[in-house]
Amino acid sequence: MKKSVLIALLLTVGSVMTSQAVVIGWAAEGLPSGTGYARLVYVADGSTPVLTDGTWSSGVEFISEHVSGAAIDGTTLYPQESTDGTPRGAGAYFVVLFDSAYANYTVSTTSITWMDAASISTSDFDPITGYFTPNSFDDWALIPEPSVATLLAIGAAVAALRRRKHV
Amino acid sequence: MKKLLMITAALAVAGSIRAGIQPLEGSNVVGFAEVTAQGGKNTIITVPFESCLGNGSAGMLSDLVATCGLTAHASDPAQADQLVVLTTNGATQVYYYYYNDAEDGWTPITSAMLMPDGSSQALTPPAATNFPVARGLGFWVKRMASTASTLYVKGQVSSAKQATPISAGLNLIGYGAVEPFALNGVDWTGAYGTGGISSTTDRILVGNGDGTYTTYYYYIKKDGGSSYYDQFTNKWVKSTSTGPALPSSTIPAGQGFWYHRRGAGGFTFRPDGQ
Repeated sequence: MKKSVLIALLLTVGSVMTSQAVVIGWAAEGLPSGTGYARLVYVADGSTPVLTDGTWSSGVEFISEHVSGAAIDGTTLYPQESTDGTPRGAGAYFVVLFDSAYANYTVSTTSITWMDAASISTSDFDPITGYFTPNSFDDWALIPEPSVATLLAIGAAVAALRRRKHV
Repeated sequence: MKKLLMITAALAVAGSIRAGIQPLEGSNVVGFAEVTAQGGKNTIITVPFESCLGNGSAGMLSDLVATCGLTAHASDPAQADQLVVLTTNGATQVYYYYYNDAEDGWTPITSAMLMPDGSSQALTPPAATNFPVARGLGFWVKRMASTASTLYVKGQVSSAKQATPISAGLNLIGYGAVEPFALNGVDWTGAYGTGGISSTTDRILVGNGDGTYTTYYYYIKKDGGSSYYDQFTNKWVKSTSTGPALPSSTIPAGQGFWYHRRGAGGFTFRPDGQ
């Protein structure tokens, strides 16, 4: 009887751990001057996310909405709790900042792994006890426009489509 | 005429006897509170009452939490509603599990406790009839059925001011009030906040009824901060994506919450004043 109860409990806990969404606690200190927005991102291979030709590097997913306004108090980004509904088995979370004009971005120099115990809550019984709080960021980088080659390719595709319609 | 005299005499005798009886008077008031146990979820509850005729002592778990309306099972805990109590076993925090046995009511469940060396050790809680639950302590009800049910907590209404010790780290507590209350409407002397919302600010986590929490932080404005933040200082606020916000609703009687003590040491929560 005792053994069956124990197995049932372990199965219950196990299913909760694998099926439920996780909640990630995050914040930031030492924000660079001009910060207007912040977002939490997940990167599948754990590498620093990079924006090239208007496209984020492979495996980048935005977890939070834009955090802005009074949530940014001087050099402090007040704590946020964001839900990641996708089960993860690898990867890392970073904080990405954008300036007020949305012309530049920067990425935290530190990250947390997908299984960080303090900052990630997996169930009601396991609330967040610490927040992922990076305090160092790369220099602002220009948010690049789509490249000329990409624009030409898009233009060519549109032109081809229009010709097909005329025929 | 004779009949009237007899009735009058009988009433006079009854009246004199009634006047001679010492009336029974007592100041003890018993009560109950209703808490919604969400279907298929865990709900933090608290008992605003104490032991009946116990002169202020804590009631036993089996007396304080009624089983009526909850799902029971004759032998399988996984098919019955459960109570989960966070307590200490020596210096270690542990969870005690009880299920609603169809015949015996709240019955202990033996679970496994993971030891530092990786092994597991059986953990058997005391009987619910022998497990005191102090007023203001929080614990869970795990509702197994997919539909919500009303949970009744009961006991003697206390006239004493609540004093609940809060230690460093996570605490499950509640306000032993019999009416809904506002977080910023009770005394939080001892709560810690500093410099806006920082890594050392105390937190309160209130369940939303769907398995998620709303987190509130004890807010003290930053030195030299914008006057916009004056409205939040010395209050519990939630941090939204556009800034701090005051709580928009009250906490129902009987609902508990997490208190995450991040300031140094602990303090005693005295919601009714010092």
